[in-house]
Amino acid sequence: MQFINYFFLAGLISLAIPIIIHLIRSNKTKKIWIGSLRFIEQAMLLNKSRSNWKEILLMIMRLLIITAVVFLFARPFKTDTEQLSSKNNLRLLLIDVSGSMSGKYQNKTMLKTAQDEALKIINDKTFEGKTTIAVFADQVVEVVHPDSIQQTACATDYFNLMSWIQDKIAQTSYQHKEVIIITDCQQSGLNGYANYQFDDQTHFKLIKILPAATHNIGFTGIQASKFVKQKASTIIPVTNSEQTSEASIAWYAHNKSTKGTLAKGIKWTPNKTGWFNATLTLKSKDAYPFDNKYYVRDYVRQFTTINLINGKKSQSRFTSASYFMDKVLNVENNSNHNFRATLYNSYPPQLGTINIFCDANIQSNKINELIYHVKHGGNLIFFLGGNTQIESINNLYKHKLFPAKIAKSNSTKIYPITKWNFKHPMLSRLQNKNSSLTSFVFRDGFKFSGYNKQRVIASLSNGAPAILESKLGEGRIVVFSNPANRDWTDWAISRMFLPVIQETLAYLSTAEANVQYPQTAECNINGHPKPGIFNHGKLIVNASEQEQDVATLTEKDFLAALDLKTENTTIKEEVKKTTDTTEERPHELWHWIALTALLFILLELIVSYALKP
Amino acid sequence: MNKAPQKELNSEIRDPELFMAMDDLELVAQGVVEGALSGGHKSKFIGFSNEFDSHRNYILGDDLRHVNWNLWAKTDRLYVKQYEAETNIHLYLLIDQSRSMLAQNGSTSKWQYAARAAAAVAYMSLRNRDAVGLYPLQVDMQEFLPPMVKTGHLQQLIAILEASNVEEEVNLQSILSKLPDLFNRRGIVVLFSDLLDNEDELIECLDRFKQDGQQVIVFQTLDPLELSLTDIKNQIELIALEGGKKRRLNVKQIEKNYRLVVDRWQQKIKERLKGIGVDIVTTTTNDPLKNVLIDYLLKRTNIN
Repeated sequence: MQFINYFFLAGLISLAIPIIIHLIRSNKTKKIWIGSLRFIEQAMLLNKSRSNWKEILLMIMRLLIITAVVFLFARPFKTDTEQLSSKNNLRLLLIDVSGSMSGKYQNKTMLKTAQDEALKIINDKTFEGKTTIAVFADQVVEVVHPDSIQQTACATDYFNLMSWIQDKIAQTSYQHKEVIIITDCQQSGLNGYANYQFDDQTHFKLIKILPAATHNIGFTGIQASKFVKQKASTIIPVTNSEQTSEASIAWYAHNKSTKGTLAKGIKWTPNKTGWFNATLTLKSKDAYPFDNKYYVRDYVRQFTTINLINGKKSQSRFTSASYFMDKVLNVENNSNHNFRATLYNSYPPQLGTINIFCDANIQSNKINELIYHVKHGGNLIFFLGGNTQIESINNLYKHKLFPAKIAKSNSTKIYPITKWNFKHPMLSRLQNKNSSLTSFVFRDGFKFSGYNKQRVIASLSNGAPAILESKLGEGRIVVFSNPANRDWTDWAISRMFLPVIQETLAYLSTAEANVQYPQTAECNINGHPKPGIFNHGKLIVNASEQEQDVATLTEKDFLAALDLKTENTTIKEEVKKTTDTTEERPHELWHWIALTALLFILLELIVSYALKP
Repeated sequence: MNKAPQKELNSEIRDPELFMAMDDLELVAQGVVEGALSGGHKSKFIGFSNEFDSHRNYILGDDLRHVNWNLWAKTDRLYVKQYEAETNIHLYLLIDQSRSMLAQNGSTSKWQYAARAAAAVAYMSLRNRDAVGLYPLQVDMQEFLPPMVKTGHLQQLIAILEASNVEEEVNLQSILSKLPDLFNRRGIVVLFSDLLDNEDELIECLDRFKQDGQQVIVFQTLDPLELSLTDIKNQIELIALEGGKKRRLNVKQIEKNYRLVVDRWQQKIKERLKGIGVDIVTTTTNDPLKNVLIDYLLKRTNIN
């Protein structure tokens, strides 16, 4: 239980008042000398149990009344976490039983590993509520217990799974829902992504069973990066498996490019520019029967490797399943693109590499490697957020890998970004009266110090830096003081978000002023033309084709096209939300406290009356 | 903090007004007593005195002055008159010297009240030519006065009373058990005490006096609060004079039960004393001493 007005808990000091009054009255008691206390003691024995008991009860009643009144003013409430421990919870536990789960790792099938994980979850006594267990492959079937599940040879259909989950949640009256999916994240033979919307009382958890069988595009995965503490996501459109020990991968380039094979993932660095054709053949050595071939044709130009490091499980707009990274950066027909997403572990880079740290932190033992990388042309983009560790960042600043020293801000109010340095190459093409850059609002979450004011690219209305940069050797570092997601503000779904990011990437990759303006691509979801952003589990961002027409699309149209009910988060509303204590928060308990206080008052009156001689 | 009450020096035990009121009274012995002097009590010895008792036949040698000549004239026979012999008694005044007697929540302390009563009884008895002894009940029993009738005896008695100590540790029973050996004649034992000691043992001691042929009167003096807590309001702290034990209490809560307990104790004592033939007079320090003494003495005289 937490309190809205913690200050009022100081009123509990008044519990000492009845005790102090009692002590004062005791000291002022008249003293009388008497011949013998014999008869007094005999009389007191007759009275003892009754009067002592009543005195004590009266004192307790009065103390409880004071406590109840203090709690009433302090306004206690139960958090969602506490709510989750109540009995009003529904848990959906979904286990992948598709053919790929028959794969073995260390003499244990992945299905067995999934079963063990499921058993751990249902044996967890801290959960109070209803648990529904189901298995899925191409269909979803409810089961009674994880012990009774059987392996199938069916393919995995995540779309069917998500639809089933959506229906299940729509039918339930439970307030809090938790969806746990245990899978190897492998989807066979299916392309594309779907959009599913859930309310904010639905929480997703993905338990990935590794290693997945290879060579299929599947559910997006989270993979470790040697540079970061948290896991990073990859941006590989072909495969997402960490280890391909059960398959061999051959990448053939038809135009005399290097043929390379890998034991882990895909690594290919073209050694010249121009068009190339390539065939990616995946041969499975495990029980999984499918072999796949992918034909790729692309124009290799001077490109920039982008590594994406996500610090939080909540989405940023840069996840591997992100439309932005997948489509914007790899559009086949868009010859203006200068970027290509590739593996995270491509250090040291042959060409400039942009490392995007989305609210992620860097291990201190990787600092030297990173210094080397940046000095030789690598670039860093930081998005600061709730996961940012101050000490880690300040350690980077010490090594000139960060443009400023930071500290947590006492206030986290929201301010619009009102000052933009349009002379900076990053913003020069965005100086358009219709670009609506002033719609960006940032939370003033960090205090910056020790930075070069000439390097501030954009500032908040209170003067705090919103975007700033620094240089180390051949490389550059750009810092955004807010995360690239909706954790703090809605800037990530603002229509100017993508253009700003693209311009940032263009600036860092080429540092040239004459790069053509990149364009966004079209929404590519079969049968799901509506774009959307989802809070849990599904980390997909789709943007309407109208996003590319930033000059003509109004803010209102943009939001309507996104079909998103967003709040226009202005400073006023934010201040109102955080300071308006008269607004009742969910799960407040004042009703119960008031009732309890009245009950205690009534009991106290009854006992006082009974104590009258 | 209130200080513990102490025995006042130069206590005013001698009360002239009270003495004057006692002038015409006497402590009448119930039944016949022994006596050496010619006092006012019936003697078991039949001899010549002022009170006619009966006639007997004339025996040769009897004093002719005691012949009832009127009866001879009527009956022509000679009869001699017989008279009751009047003698004095020994009065033993025992006064409790324990610390509980210092309680003073009325007009005076219990001890002073008892001492004044003892002095008044001594005065009255000495006027009636009864021998009065004083035995302050102290641990060492050094200061006491055996029964006498002589000039200056009352002054001496009062002086001893005034000089006596009130002591912390007084075991009445052990002191009383030594006294019968000091009493060489039968008489009247008057105990001035609050009887807050162990009443069973106390009554046994008094019974011993009775068995020795003494007449026993108990003059119980209590503090008003020892009978009732009616005049006290709210929370008080009571401190025992003997032992110093303390008790904090809300009077209203135990007043009723306290009265009940005290009444039961009083009733028990009275019944037991009555059972062994001991008179008891219970009074508090707020009761006018003169009225108490006069009422009792008259009542005793009428009964006798």
